[in-house]
Amino acid sequence: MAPDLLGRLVDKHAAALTLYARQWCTAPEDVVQEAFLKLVAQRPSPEQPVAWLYKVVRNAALSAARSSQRRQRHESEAAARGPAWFVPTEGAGLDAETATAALQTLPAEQREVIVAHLWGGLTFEQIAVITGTSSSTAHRWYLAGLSTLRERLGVPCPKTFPTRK
Amino acid sequence: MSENIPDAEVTQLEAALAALAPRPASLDRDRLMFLAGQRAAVRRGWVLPCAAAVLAAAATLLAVLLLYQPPTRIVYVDVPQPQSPAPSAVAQDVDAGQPPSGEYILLRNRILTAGVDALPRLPPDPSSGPTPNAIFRPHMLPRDDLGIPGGPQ
Repeated sequence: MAPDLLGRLVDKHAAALTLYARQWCTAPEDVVQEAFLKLVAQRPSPEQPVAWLYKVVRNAALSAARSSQRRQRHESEAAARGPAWFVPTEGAGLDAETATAALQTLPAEQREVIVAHLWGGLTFEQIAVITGTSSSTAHRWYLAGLSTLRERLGVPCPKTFPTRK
Repeated sequence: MSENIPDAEVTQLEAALAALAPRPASLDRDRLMFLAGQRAAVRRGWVLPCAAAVLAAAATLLAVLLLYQPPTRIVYVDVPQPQSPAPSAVAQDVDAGQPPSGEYILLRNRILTAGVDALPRLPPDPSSGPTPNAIFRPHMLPRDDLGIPGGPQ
C-alpha cells in the first residue's frame, strides 16, 4: 500500500475508527493503530480498505474488551467508561456528554450500526458483512437505535442542526 | 420503543448526531507511518535473506570439502602380461641381426643413384619367365644373385 494512501486513510478515518472501537475497549487507539499496520501488511490489499479496517477494528476491540473485562473486574464502572466520545462543538444541537451517555445505553448491536453508518460512513451492506447479519437487519437496528436516541435526547429544533453530509 | 418515526425526524436526528465530531484519535501519526514502513519492509524482504542464507551455506560446505578432502591414494593393480611377444622383443631381434655389409651398402647407393636399372639381371628361369615381383622386390631375391654373402648355399 502506498504511503500517501495510508496517510489519507489515517487522516480521514482514524477518529471514526477510534470512536467505533471505543464502544468496546478502553484503549481504542492501540486497536486502530494495529489495524492500520495490518492493512499495510495485507497481501493483496483489500478492495474496500475502509470496510476492512472496520472489521479488523471490531474483532480486535471485542478481543481487547474480553481481556479487559477479566483484568478490570473490580474497577468502577465510571473508570471503565473513559472519556467522552465526542468533542464539544459550538453550534451543535446535542451535548457531547449527553450524546455519549445516550449512545452508551443503547444495545450493542444498535450502537454499532449507528456509529458505523453515521460517523464511519459505511453502507448497510458493508455493515451487514462486518456484523454477520443481513442489510435489512442492520437497517432495522439502525432505526431502532435512532428511535431510542430520539426519546432520550429529544428532538431538537431542526433549524439548529448544522448539516455535515 | 417505536421504530416508526417520520423520515424528516430521522433525518434531523441523523444530522444532529453527525454534527458531533468524534474525539480525535490520539494516534502518533509519524510513529504509525514509521511502523507501517518497517512492517512493509520486513514483509517484502524475506526473499533476499533466504537466498543469502542458502548461498552462504553452500559456500561453507564447499570450503569444508576443499579443506578436508581425503589424501590421494595410489592403488597398484596387477595388469596381466600379453601372450604375444612384446614389440620391444621384436625390435631387439631386429637389432640382433647382422649389420649390413659394405657390399649391400654399395648396391643400395648404386640403386639410389641410377635407379632400379642398376640391379643385376636375374638368371633366366626355364619354366617361367622372371616374375615382376622379382624385378620390383629385390629384397626377395636370393642373396647370391645380388652378390651378397651369407645367402643360401
